[in-house]
Amino acid sequence: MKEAFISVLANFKSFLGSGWLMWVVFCVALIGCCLLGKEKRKLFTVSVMLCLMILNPITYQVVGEKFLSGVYWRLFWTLPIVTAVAVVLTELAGRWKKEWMRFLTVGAFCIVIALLGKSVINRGTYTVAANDYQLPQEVIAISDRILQETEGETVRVLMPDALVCYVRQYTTKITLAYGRDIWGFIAPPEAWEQELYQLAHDENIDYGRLCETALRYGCRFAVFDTEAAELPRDMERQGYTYVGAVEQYRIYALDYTAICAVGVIK
Amino acid sequence: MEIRNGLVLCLWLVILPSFIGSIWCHFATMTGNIKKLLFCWVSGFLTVMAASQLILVPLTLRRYSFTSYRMWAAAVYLLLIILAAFLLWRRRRVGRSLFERGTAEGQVQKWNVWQILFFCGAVLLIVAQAFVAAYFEHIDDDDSRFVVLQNLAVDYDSMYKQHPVTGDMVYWNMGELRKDMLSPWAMFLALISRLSGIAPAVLSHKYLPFFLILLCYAVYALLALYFWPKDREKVGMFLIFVGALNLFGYFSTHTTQAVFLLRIWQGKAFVGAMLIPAMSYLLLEVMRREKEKLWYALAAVCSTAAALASGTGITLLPLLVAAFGGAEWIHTRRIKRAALIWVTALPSVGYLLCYLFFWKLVKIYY
Repeated sequence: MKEAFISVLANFKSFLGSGWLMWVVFCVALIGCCLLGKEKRKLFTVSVMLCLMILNPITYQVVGEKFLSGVYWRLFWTLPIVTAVAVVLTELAGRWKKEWMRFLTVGAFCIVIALLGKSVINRGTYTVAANDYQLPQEVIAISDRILQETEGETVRVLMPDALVCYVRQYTTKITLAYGRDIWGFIAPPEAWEQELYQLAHDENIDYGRLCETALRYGCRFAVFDTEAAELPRDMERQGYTYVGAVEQYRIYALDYTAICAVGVIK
Repeated sequence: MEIRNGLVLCLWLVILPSFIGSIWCHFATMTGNIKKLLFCWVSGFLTVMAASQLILVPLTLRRYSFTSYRMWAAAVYLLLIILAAFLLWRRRRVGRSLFERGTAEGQVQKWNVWQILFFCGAVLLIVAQAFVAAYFEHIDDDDSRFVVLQNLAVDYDSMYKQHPVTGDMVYWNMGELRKDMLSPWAMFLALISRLSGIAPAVLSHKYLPFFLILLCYAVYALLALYFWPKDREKVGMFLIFVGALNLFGYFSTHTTQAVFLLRIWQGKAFVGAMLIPAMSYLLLEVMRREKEKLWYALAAVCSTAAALASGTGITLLPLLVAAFGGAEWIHTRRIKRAALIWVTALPSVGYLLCYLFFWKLVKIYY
């Protein structure tokens, strides 16, 4: 039970981040709601009920461990934080009899919110979109180059880690040797995916063996990030045919004759 | 092209749901044209989502094609449109328009300068947020599942049959895909993508944020009209504060404000940003108007819609309903009323049980 409670608190901290002051404001706002009449008092009662449920270790053992494992903090979304604070601020600003005072109070409250809070929209969260898909431009350039080679045929490609999440958002004609599943998302990875991932992430990558294994599992192209690992000069001798480059990424076709020699498993 | 896409999406995401929502508006006791319009849009969107959930889950479990879903959805939406049109026609015939001219006293309530100022401030803040979210790029790796599943539905006419990464055929026991089968939000968006002819990635990243953020604020506007039904100025003030609190609420990546303004197109974010406030609004109305059974039904529809959006919705909505039921019990000391509120969570609870006993469900189903 104690461990469950510690986990609940850890999730609470994770949800709050640096927003402790916001939490205090919310608690004060709830008390304010209590004083603002029957309708607004409901916000107080509901929030208290929710807190009793969410901060309860039993709820964590039932809900947190069975349904929301690792994301228990999402339960805090049910708390009407924004609504309660906004209701109280509105009532406070609306208390002035003169209209211009109400207007100034709203402006002042907004400035305080901006100064104490952190903007969701900032340079770290949003960038200028390079294309309509709002995906990295190199993903589109690499995918187009590969599909140009295959004349639109579906093809399996070994992609660098930095691009695996975005390629299939652009086109499903390119399938991946491994993707985000390798890090424990979506679905458990297959043994062959793990084998390829290991080979591609060895400290000293054996490019010849990587090419042979990739061919065995049906890959016809490989894209390497030259910033992540330096490529050997004799790539052609190890089964790779240079197709092109996009920024720091180099695209290689895996030697097709080798596919016939080795035989496609996947 | 962009204007064409905007207009087409306006049809599918605003006009069609609002028309369907007029069915609920027809039965609800409500005053004020703005409130009615907002209510039509929100309730219609929830209805469209809930209808999709009821159609989709049996189809995905049976491994039907995406085309089957499109056909069923077309039939159900058409029925709803016919019903809405019939109700509107009947109203017209007896001379009772859905939207009134003037107040009950027969006079048109005029807006004063300050009301207009607060209203414009709120609209500016809200539209600016929607515009930034749509125009600028925010990349989230979770889309490697959500958007790819939409792509697969549109390109290969399949629903959860292919692995999002390798493209291989998959079974039901594939990690998070099992959860997706009970919350097929990706297929709902794929339908919009197919109907509008916009690629799923473009739809999700570029267009949906604009419409969905406006929809979320429509819910907040309904909440404001609930608290101050006759005070336009306070409604404007409330929306300004909500806009500011959402904009400056990036205390961690886990806050509602963060998911709201950064990745609203994802089902779980939509639950946090829109469905939880919507359910709160509906349950507040339920608590206020105990005799109008319509609100209970609409809350149950919202519960079903939450199940479509995400597994998070399936878990969170019953908790929220439990809290509201408990609060009602405390306020009125009547367990029957609390029980009636708890009943509205049944759709979500049902899908929760489906998730828990997934294999038994599949076995029974076959």
